[in-house]
Amino acid sequence: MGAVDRLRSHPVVGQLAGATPRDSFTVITSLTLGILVFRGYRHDYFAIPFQLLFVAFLLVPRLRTQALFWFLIACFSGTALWLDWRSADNHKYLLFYWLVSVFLVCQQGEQERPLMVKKVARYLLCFTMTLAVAQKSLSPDYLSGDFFQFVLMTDERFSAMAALFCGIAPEVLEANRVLYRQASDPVNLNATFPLLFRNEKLVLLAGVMTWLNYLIESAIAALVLLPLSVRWSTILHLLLIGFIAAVYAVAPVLGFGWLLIIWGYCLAPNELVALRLSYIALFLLLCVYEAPWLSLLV
Amino acid sequence: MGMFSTQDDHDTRFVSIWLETEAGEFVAARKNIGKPLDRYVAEPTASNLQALCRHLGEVVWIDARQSKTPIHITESAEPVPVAMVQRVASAAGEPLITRRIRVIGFKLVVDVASGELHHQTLGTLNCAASGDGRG
Repeated sequence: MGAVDRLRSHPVVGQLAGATPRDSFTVITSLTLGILVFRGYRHDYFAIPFQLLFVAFLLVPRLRTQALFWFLIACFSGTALWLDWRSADNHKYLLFYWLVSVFLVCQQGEQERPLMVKKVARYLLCFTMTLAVAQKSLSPDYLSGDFFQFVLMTDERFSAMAALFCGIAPEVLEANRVLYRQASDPVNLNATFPLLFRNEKLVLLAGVMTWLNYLIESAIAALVLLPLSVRWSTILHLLLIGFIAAVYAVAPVLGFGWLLIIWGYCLAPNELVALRLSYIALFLLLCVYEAPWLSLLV
Repeated sequence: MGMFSTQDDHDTRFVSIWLETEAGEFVAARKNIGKPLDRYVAEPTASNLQALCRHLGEVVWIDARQSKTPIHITESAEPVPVAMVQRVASAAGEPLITRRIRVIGFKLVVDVASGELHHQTLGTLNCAASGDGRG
């Protein structure tokens, strides 16, 4: 028996890779609870009841497959979202749709759950990517590269990247951000400011980021609904894994990245154990991404 | 980036609120203004600006220097007196007697080709102030 086979036959690895429908659903619900614990809704109407529900789950772990448990979580999430709907991030909406889906899946028998959860994940991933591509196509400042130029010049999360690839000194980028903050100050309305710094490399980097992001999202949106062979399915998952690993390394919006990872896990064919384990590793990697690791390279 | 990538979102929209009071002119801190401000920034329509104005005329304003929590809203070189909403009616701080409230919604636009920063006005309104805001 080779090392890979021995690894595969290890009970923990088998459980993480979703060897049985029950294992697979346990991983999916556990990761979903992970999102809610670390990146749930901030509103008290969610936070307080969720704490109670989560403690109840710790005491009675089988609650994670109970429809009522997920129904209550979805209700409190929906309330928090409704009260904050104008300012809530778009992935909070996706999380709510996912919670409703988990509730509906829990109403099915154990054998039907994998199929249904796969179907739901497929549609959610497809609609997410399709709408992202549609918005980018219609946006007045995306395809021109202006949006990424804007964030590279003014967003702290992108500073390390701008410094690393465009050769702009961190102090110059900090000066850009100070100017931007001053210009957003209500006291400085209608004042004039020096120009923000940018260079040709920044324009080029913004162009690469724009089109890479756009093309990968388009490819995932197009492929995810098709009945794919194992080979093409692997390509789709590698694209998704690459997308998550690259995008969230720069902009660590953990709640969004984790949701995409769960959907990828749901969609990965049972026989591709390595893919499923990669999604779990990616889930952990995103936690590491929160550290300002890029700035260490500058 | 995530799903929606554009410079035109609520993070690039701001509101400048000026209070004319018996104690002089104050700029308002965003803190404690609450939902009407969030709503206007998310959806800067004329009706939301009016709703914000109504709200600003109803709340109780105090000089931020009287607050236990220091407020810092400006990076301008010259200090400007800052007013803030008194969250709890019984809290310390003498209410400011407001004569007029002026609200200007604006978008901060970066012209990436030149690197120029400029303000695009979204709406301006003078709000009716209800004196000390207590009713």
